[in-house]
Amino acid sequence: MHAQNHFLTLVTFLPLLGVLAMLLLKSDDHVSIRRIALVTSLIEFVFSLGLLRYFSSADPNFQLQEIHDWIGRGIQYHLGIDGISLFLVLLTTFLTPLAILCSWRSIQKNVKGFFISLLVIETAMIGVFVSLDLFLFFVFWELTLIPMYFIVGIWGHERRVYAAIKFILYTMFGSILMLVAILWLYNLSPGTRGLPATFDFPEILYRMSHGQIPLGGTTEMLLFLAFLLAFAIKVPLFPLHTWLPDAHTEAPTAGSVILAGVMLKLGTYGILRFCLPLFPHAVMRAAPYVATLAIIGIVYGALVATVQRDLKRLVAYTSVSHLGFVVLGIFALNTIAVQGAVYQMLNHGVSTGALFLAVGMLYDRRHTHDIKQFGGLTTPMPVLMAFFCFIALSSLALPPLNGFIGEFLILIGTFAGHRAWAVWATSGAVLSAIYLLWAYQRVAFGKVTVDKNQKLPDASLREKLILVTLAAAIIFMGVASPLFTHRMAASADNVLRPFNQMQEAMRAKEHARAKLAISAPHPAQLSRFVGALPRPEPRRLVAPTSAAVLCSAGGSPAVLRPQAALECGSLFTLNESEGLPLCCNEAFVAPGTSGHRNHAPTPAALTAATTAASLIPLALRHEGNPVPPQFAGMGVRAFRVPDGVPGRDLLFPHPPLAVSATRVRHPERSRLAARDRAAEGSLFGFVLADSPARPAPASPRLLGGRSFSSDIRRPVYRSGALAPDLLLPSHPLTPGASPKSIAASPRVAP
Amino acid sequence: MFILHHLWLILALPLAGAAINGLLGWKWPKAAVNSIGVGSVALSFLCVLELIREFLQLGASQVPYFEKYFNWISAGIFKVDFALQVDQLTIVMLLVVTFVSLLVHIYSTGYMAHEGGYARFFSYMNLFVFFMLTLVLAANLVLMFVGWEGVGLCSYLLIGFWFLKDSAASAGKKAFITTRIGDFGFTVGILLAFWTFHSIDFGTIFHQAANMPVESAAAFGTLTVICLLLFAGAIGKSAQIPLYVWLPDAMEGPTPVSALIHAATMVTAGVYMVARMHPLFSRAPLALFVVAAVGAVTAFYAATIGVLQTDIKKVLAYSTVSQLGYMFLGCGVGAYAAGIFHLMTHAFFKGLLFLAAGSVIHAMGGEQDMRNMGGLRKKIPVTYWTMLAATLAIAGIPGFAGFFSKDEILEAARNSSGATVWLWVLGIVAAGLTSFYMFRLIFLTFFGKPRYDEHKVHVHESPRNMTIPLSILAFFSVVGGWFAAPHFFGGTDYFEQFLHPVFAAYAPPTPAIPPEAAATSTPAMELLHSLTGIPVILAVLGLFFAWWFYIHKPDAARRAKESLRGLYSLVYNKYFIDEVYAALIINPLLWISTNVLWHGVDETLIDGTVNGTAHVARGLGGQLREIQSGNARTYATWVVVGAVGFTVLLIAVWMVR
Repeated sequence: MHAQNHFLTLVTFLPLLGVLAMLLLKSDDHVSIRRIALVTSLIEFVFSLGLLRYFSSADPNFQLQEIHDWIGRGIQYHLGIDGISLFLVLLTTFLTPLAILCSWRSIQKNVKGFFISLLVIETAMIGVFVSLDLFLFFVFWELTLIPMYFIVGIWGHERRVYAAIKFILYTMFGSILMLVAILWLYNLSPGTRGLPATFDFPEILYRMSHGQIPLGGTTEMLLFLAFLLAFAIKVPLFPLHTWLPDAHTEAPTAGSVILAGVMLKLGTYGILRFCLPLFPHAVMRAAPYVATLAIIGIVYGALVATVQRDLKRLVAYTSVSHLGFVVLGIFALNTIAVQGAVYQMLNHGVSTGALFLAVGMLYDRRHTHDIKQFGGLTTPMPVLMAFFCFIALSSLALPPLNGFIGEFLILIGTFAGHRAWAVWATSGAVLSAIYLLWAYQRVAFGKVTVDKNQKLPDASLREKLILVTLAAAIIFMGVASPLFTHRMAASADNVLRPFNQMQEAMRAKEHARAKLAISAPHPAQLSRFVGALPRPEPRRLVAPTSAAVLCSAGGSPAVLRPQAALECGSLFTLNESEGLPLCCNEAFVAPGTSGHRNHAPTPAALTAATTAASLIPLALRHEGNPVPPQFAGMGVRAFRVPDGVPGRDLLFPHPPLAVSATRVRHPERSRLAARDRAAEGSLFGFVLADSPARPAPASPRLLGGRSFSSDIRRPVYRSGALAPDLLLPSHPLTPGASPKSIAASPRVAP
Repeated sequence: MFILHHLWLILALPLAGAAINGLLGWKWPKAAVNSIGVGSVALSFLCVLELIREFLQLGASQVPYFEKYFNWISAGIFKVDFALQVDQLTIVMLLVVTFVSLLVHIYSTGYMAHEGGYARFFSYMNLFVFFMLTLVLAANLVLMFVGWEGVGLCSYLLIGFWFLKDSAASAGKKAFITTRIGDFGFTVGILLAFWTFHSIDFGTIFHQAANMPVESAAAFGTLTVICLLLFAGAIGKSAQIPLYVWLPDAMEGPTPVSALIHAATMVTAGVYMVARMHPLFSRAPLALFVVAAVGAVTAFYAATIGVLQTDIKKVLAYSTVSQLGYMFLGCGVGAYAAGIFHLMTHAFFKGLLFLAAGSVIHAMGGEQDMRNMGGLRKKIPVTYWTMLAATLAIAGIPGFAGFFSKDEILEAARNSSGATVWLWVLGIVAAGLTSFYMFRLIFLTFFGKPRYDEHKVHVHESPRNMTIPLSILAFFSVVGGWFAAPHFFGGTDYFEQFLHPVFAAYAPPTPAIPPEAAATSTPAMELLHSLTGIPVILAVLGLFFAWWFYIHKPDAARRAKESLRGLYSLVYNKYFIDEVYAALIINPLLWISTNVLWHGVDETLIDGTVNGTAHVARGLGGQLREIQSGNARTYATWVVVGAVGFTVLLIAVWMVR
């Protein structure tokens, strides 16, 4: 195990060894420089394949982790990979040798600097994929920019300076906002428990998902947007894409290959790695908008690509379209779509990288990208054009080539939740055939129209080697996709866990509601059941300010009227000020009445109970819901009902949730208390309707943790006998529980 | 049971042939390319024959025979296996595909003998056979889609085989893109089917669909939507209205390609798909009606265009569109077996017509315009007689293959419920038109006086490797329909009986089409009825008019043309559909993409903003730079201004507090 511990460091920095070696060479020794670059990148590729050996596909956590203290105050050197970054690292190490090979002859100016830049970029990109410390991540993120800036600006074509500056300013703009967000997160990281501040991503994620770092809705959204902007520029997401066509058109071939093949994925990777797990609620809220932009990008990129006259610019616009698919897949928040998105990142890297390589080979011959300058190229160069055709087919997602699988998985996954999105995105698949085949026809078919093209040499051995490698990858990824998806499945699920939990809760809710709508318990039966519950000593009755409701989690839609809750009957109350939950089952307190009366629950009270219960999911789902004024200052909690409560299965079908609504006197304290309880797992959700200090009913805020387990004080409940008719399996009171589970439960058996 | 257990062999042989010829064939002699190209398909055909022998020994419970090889896609609950299945429908398709492919491959060794790219041609053809067999053997929707797209690819490559011709390259592209528009529907259909049934395996889908009620045409549901979406794919692939426009252009490809891909096999994939998905279609009456209506209208519409075409292959292309319409009409009225039957006989006679047309073109040295032919009957007798057999078959002359299959479809259309009577009317009118344009083709080509320069064109019969496939197909164009013949004498329709297990397995409890009524009880009457039935009358009338216009009174055609100038020009120009599409869809789309999206949004709006920001920043900086003038007096002024301003600020703050 120890031997592997430095494996990731080795993989990350190995290219720099090549750089060191090159520094020792004279700068006019081009042959040795090229050879060293190629050999280094090949060794690097072989080494990175070793990751597959040590990687366990069943483990959703980060693997091959490496942690060292770096710059005090919470900045660590922390590396690790999961099923998502694994393949992106491999994509990087796969494409770099090809990029070096394709620059073999075409780069003649300052050869040393060029190959050094390529290898530095390789290290930086791998660094981005394997860093688990936000600070380290940012360092690598910025490190990718500088060599690329030089590659475009020095070795590019005519308008290279404009393109390079546009590229770096665009990206830097996003990076700066991300830096602010990272620092903000660092400052938030001590959380409620006052732990040491840290940049460590898994640690921050742990604290967040355990409710230790309170984020208001706005804070979360701002942080999310700052990260998203940086990533969206990189992707690029419409309308932030205009740097891309310029950068691609002006970059040398190797620059385009690296840029399209890997650097664009830094953006989508960032969204997957950071935005989704850290800011799930903001993601949920923003998903429709981001997905809309992605779909616009798909269609827009395709349409604009169709009418391009410059071959490289055309390919650049296809990236806008294809990356739109990836972003759509991510924001579909569904494991099929996310796996499809990751797969599509790899496909795009291979296919579009290959397209750029092929276009570069044409450029090497003719020094132009103008489609008009080509035409009929199949006659002089049948082999090169055959490969070009094959690559284009892969890019337009022809089954059974690689592009099809990614695109289809994204479509399938997106369709599950958002049919309209999937249908719009499918149109992109039609358009891709138009722009690629039209371009191919103009380049390859017909008679040779330009005399210079008559005698162009066909693909050389070096070029054939590049093309055959890519074609093999295209076929392999098309046929053997489970080899990839099996390894990324666990990680994709891990990224989606918060969303799956939210969706599961929603589903359960709807399920319960649907069942209740079919057979809602009759109030009289419910009251009989309540009457049969054991009564603890009515010693400590609660003040009328505190009203709590215990009822089924499945409120039927018929009782969703908030007014009903005003008459707020409470079955059980929690006395927050005492710090102990106290049960007081005879108190049915209507607001406005002082004191409490011992009486049987009225149907109205029961209705109110159900209503209050439906508040939680409402708040969970529609955070923007206006709060009924009656609930101003109420904290509504949902907690799990422990197993010991008699008749639990009858009243709390899916999941066994209880809900309490309490007027909160110390909002901040309650919030923190709720947070801690959520962290312990006893609380499912906590919604503060609004604080009494600011009575205007603003939007409620969801504050709580997301996991739950049973931790209600047991002594409060004692098992007791129930009226026999309540236990009949066919009883209308058994909406959620199957008759079998009731009969099997020893506690409720008479 | 060797082949049953190794179904993949049927696929692997043509794929291997394609790979070998594609990678190595270009430096091999033609004989070697031939033996690989033809041999792989021949072996595949033999495998199919052996498969049939083995298949017939299977018990009813073992059908469909299912074989899974490996997991191809897997993510979450979405899993696609590379799995093949065989049932009676597959058997029919396998037989048709491999048999016609084999003949066309043999024919191609003659037809393509003098063409460049010989190995490339056979490589593409083999690849096509591979994808077509994948489509047919697939046991799930996605794998079927692989074959579906794959044959589209081969069609693209082969239409554009002579890529030096711009028209050929454009036609290939048009074919691919047009069918992809249909595939848009197909893809969404698969998505919806998966999330409806949570599976893409045919077995699972059909099983679940069998438990679903028949949807009503008025308040249709998911099944109807799925079927309509899938049918959109079929409209593209099988060239139905409104996506038929690619097929006539596809005639730019070599003639064997037209025969195999654009007549006998690929274009019938849509019909196969509808028949394959019959458990869904049968429960979606609205979708079925759309299938029937599109089929009938296309059958009629394409036939009218065929009447005035002068290019021998274009006539056959529109004829194919029209005949495909018949197949859909058959499926649409629930007579799936009749549709598949027509698919099979059509593969024989239309494949033959194209091959024979190719032989004519070959004989004429590349001439395709029928106005420049004539009197070829004596010079190329084999071609003439075989083509005549196929024409009799397609025209529906009793006794020939097309008669039986077309009659079954029309019969089914007539017997189906009320709303589809006009579909039958369209069908029989189209039958008359078919007979007319086909005999017009025969008369123009083979009769009358030669209208070409006999000194320049040396008409010669094709070599034997071309005429033998013609003869074999002619034989089947004559007898291919006799499986159903006993039916007309009150006996069984063997073809339908063979396919019965497939279409009966998941039939809805109340069949959409009531079984044929008492008519069968009087065999003699039935025979008389069929023989003298309206379709036959119309077919004979078509023959007669063709004879009248093109043999008896050649002037009549010209006079009719002049008196109906408007209609003539409308039909002659194929109703201007290509022009309408260009004007309404393609050109606006290109214009918007160029001027609004690219120059407007991208360059002006977004880049304008980006560059504008930069310019403003630079301009501001430039202005501020002026302040740094190096003039001490200016600096002193600024110091004073600053001091005063700061003081004022301090005072203001102090006063506010």
